Amino acid sequence: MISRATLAASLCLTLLACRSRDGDALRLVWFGGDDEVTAIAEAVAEFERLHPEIPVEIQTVEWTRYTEKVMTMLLGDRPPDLARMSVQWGGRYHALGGLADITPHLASADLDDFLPARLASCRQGETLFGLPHTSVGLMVFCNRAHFERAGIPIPSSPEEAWSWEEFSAIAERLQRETGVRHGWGVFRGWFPVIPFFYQSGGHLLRDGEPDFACDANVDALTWFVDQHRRGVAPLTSWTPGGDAAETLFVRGDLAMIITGNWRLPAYARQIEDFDWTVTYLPQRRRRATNAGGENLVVFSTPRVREAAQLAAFLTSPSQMERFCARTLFLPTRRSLLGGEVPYHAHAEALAMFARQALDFEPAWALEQGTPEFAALDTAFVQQIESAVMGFESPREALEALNREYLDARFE
Amino acid sequence: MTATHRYALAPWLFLAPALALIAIFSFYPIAHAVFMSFHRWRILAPPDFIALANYEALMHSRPFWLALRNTLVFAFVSVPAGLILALGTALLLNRPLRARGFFRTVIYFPVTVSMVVIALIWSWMFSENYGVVNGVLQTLGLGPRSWLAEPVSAFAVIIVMSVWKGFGYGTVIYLAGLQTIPDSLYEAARIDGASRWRMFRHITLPLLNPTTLFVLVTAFIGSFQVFDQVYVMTEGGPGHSTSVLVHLVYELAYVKFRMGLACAAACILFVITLLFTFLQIGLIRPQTGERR
Repeated sequence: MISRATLAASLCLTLLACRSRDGDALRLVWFGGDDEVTAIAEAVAEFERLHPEIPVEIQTVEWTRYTEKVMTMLLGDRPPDLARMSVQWGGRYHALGGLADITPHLASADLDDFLPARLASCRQGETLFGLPHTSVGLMVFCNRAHFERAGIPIPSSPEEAWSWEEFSAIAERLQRETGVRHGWGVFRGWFPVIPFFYQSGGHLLRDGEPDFACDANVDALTWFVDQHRRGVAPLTSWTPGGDAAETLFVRGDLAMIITGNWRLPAYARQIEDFDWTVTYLPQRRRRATNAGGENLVVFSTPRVREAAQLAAFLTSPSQMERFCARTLFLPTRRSLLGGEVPYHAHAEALAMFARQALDFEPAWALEQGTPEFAALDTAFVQQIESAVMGFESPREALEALNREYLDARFE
Repeated sequence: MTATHRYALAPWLFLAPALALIAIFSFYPIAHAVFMSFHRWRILAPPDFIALANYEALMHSRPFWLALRNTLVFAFVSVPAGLILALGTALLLNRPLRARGFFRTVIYFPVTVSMVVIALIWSWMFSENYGVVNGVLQTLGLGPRSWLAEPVSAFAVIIVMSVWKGFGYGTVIYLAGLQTIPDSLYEAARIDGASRWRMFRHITLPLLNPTTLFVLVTAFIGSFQVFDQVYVMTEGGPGHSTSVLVHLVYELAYVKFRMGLACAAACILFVITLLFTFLQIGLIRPQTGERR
């Protein structure tokens, strides 16, 4: 028979085994592909070599469950010390009081080197709750075979970028002369739609209040919808049941797609039948793009100083350069955007992405970084879908977004 | 404690672990959902009591009415269709048939496969540009169709797929029911000169009533909970046209983080399911000859 002492010892051992490691290591929560996981692990290992007094535990979470997981940690009063976070989410976590101000811990950091638009996404008022780590941008990916067949040159500088009218005319000409199913398209998301608003002279907020239905945005969405209704862009790519624009492009059935640098490795792997290249986004009243990416945000835990130290290390020029070179992200430092990052592939395309990223204004980062905007993700896509599919007029769809924004406001 | 009391207490003690689990994992979440349906709760912020405002918001919400309409259409089309198909197939498979076991396996096979897998396969089959269905239509000289991107056809595909996937289950239950009907009844009817139809109408159907009740109630409850196929094939689109109540609850809760509103929608779904279940039991039970 097992004695009471043995049972008590077993129970103690079990409890010890279950003991959290929180007290030992700084917790960094991370998401990303294999390359990104490896790259961050190497960077953290180097940090630990330099600072053996600060051990770091990396928790990798699948992207689809990331927000839910971090939110659960915060609600369970066990937030991570540092987390990788998409630019739109910082404001929401800050509004909840979950993030710390790291300004006092960054005396030696060179904040001026960060792109103002990206640094703005780490600020709410006077609080700096993180540092920008990586950027993503948008370009037009072109099926070179279709362009060569139609004898249409592809712009190679921002100054040569097509106007909307030229862009649409070229797309239709490609359809006519090469038989390609659709001229251009975008992936189903809010990210590639917003540049059309900015290019048209629009904005999302005015004096902190939602202004999605401003005339310039309505005008832009009307043009966007018309392109889809006329089949220049694939109408059904805007419904989840339709064929995605990415699929159409990979199969050679879409001449141009507006998407981001994160697609570069996938297209290199998936497209074998034709050559492709990238060019600058079309322009209307002005050149504009959208810029997203990831920040390293510091949570309000007792280890703010160490977390800020790690964030500063990971976003230092040398570490950022190494990380971006390996993962094909754009850096968030001006000193690295001049084409200095030794990318292992697609260096020319990424240099163009970096150039296009300069067409993103800090004010746009601020309006996309509000706590309410983070909650709009799905509603935004659904309203664009509703307009494209003809369930609502462009103005009605954008007015509905205004209501969604107000509804997402914290009491 | 007397022996009588001990005997009275014993069953409850044996049941206690199971009752505790049910209370913790079923009754408490249900009660909490009802409680939260009277609150504005965005997970990240503390809940605020707003009385019936969530229910009122749902009454004025177009997506809610669309989801409710779609749920009812799905239930009232897919359940009868599945029931008739299951009964017909069971009648066929109940007869002496070569390779009967093989056919029974084939018909039951879709039930065993994950709904997500089947929904993905059907999505590919009905793809506008690359699907086999449009491929066949084109070889017949018919134009391609955006099956899953048009409101009516998308919902029709979801219903057809759901019926195809689920009717094997009803078939097996009906087969079991058919085998409990004594042959002597048919023999007597035959001697009296009854036709096949009359035998079916007056022997088979009435004696299958308990089976029908079971299949009907479980199918209706299942159809009110339809989610996977909608989520995988259309995500409720285009424009909420294929959204159903459970999908709406999911979207409100886990996409838009409007937990209070989601709880209110879930409570409405619960009440509707309960009402339909009682209604069906009330309608069919008298015919089964059951007495309280």
